Amino acid sequence: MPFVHELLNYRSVAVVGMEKNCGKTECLNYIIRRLPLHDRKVCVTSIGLDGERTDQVTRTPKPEIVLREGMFFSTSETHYRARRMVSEIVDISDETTALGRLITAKVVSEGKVILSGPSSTASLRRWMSGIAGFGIDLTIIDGALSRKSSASPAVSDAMVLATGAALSSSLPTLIDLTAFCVTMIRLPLAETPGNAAHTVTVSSMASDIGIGNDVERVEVTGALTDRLLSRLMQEGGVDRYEVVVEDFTRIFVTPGQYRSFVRAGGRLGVRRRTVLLAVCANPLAPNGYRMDSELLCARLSDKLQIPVYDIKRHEA
Amino acid sequence: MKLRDIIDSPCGLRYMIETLPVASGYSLRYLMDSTACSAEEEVMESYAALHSFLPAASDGNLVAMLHSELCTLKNISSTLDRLESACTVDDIELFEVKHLIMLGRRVSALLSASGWPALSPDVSFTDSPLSVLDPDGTGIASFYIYDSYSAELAGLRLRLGRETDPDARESLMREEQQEESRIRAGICEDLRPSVPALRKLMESLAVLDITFAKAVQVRTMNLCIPVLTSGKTVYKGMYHPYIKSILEKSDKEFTPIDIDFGDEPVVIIGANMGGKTVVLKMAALCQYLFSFGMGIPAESAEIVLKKRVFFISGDAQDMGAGLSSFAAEMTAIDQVVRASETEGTDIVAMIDEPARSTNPIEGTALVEALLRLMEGRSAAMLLTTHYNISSACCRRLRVAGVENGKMNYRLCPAPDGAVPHEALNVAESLNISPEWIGEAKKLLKHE
Repeated sequence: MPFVHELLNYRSVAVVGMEKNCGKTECLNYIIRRLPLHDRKVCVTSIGLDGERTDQVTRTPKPEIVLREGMFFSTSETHYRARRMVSEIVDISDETTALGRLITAKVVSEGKVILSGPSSTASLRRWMSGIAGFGIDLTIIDGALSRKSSASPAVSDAMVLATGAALSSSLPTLIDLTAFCVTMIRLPLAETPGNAAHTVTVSSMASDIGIGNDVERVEVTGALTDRLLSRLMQEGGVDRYEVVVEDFTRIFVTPGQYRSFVRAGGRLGVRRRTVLLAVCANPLAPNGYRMDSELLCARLSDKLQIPVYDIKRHEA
Repeated sequence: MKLRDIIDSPCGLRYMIETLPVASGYSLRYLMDSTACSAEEEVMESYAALHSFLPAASDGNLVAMLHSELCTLKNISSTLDRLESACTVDDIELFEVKHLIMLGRRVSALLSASGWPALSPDVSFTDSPLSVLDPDGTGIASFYIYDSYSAELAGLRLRLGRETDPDARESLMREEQQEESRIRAGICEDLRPSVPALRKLMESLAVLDITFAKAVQVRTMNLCIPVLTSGKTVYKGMYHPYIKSILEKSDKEFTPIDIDFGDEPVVIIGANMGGKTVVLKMAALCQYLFSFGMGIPAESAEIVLKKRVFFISGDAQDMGAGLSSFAAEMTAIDQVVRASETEGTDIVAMIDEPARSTNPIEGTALVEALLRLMEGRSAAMLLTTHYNISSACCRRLRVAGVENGKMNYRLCPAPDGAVPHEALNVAESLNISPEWIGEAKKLLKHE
């Protein structure tokens, strides 16, 4: 499987699902099973709570996270006590989550654990710098339910996206939604220089936005929402400047709104990019609906121009 | 008197505690919960310790290394309590016990290697509890129930590693966890005799952290080690660190002040903006710092230990209690009067412009009566006022005042004479509306 080896080129990789039950945990387990561990230290953590045996929302069975000997992981006190593996505690962080302090441990003998890492990107970053002393080469971050923020370039250098039938049972819709997400991930870095003279800063909170005729770059602080985008378009002249956001995790725009922005000549750029390594697709929806795996992967791959894998099929 | 209760005294104590470079949060809480010295021996002991740390505090390398070690110090007293009461604690807690032992040993080794073995905490007892928590003698701070604790555990883990059937793995895992619990109970049993020594180690590391921080503060802020005396409190070149730091930011200088006081009340008079209140703040601050064994912001200091320190700055309007500024102030001063009745020489009171918010006739009477009472009871007292108080029952000091257009903040004796009438001049220098000041001048001429 080619993309697992690509992970080794990065310091931190986030595994993020488009939606619940898209097969993100399976994707993570798949990566963990295949990562070569002999000459590097790998640490696995999650943002927020993950690794439950049944899905907390839909009550469907979920695969557990199986960690291999020699891997590091971090989880909360509560879940550390409930682990089913032999592991050695190497660090206890001062930072507490709702489930107690964060325990970092090394797996002595393979087993299962519920991962529940730092609950915000800021504390995740603090934790990552805290464990730097253990010589971790690669950190894999398990992004929880709709927490695309863990894939923010502020914390991870690269990402793997999991999508699947859980998102929509209509193949064209699934492809559209996934393609839009991938477009956002691949947005180019801002072209215009960030010099103050021709730059205007706007936020979706502000009641008034005034953009002069000489403006070349519109910086968005915080989130880029549909509302902000439509207000920019109402002002007119979106083709004159470039709209710049921090990174793709700050974009909360619907595909339709984005398309009309582009049609009006608008350009969107990011200050920081992340690398999309691969897309994993799960043809099985929690309600039992199953898509044709081969067709799903082929159509997605065609549209996204990136390798798409159905992990279950690859394993079989 | 706990530090926690007085830290927000308006004399500026919080600044001194906040600039104390204590490494661990536990040490800071330990310091906050410590009580002020009330016996002379305690003060002597406290300053002897600080003195012995001073040379080591100049070793920048040692300071940095010790800080990075001690910032991992944690309060594990609940774990130690549970160990003592024959409970079995889990791996996370055992890890923390092991961490404490290894931290103590590393700190001890660090101090010895840097040439200060005398400052090291007692770690001589740690061999036995460490061997319980590090059976393989790896010297690594991590922890789990190691294979070497029992042959059975090692065997179970070996089988677990080879087993592929999920059900069989599950039952092996259960067996393995049972064996772990059995071993854990034994470990706790073995650790129990060391608990009192471990608790002492934890506390002595906190005390080491605090004392080291005090010594570093003495160096960085250029503080002095005071002399304990029983006669008169004497400060030479006293300054207020917070005000000084603010002045220095705008390239201004703080004028150090000399002052002494014994059992006879001292009254400070002088022009507005002459720094009378600052003198009181400094004296109160130094008295507090002294009772917690900290460096004193002065060139030299001889201090009499007082069991109770009162600092009353007049603007203590208490909206919560529904008291006016006058009522709040009177109630606060009343506490001093009542305390002086029984404790007399054991108290020191710094009161900023008492009875300032009432008419000058009654105000003067209240202040003079207070001074007479205090003099009779040999209570140390520093007081500022604009009222004309006779020097019969107190010693009067005056702020030198405006000289050649500049304020001279130094204090000089003023045995007699009226209080300075410089309010209008000072107001003029503040660029206050000339219309208003002119009118006031006219009124004065009429009198």
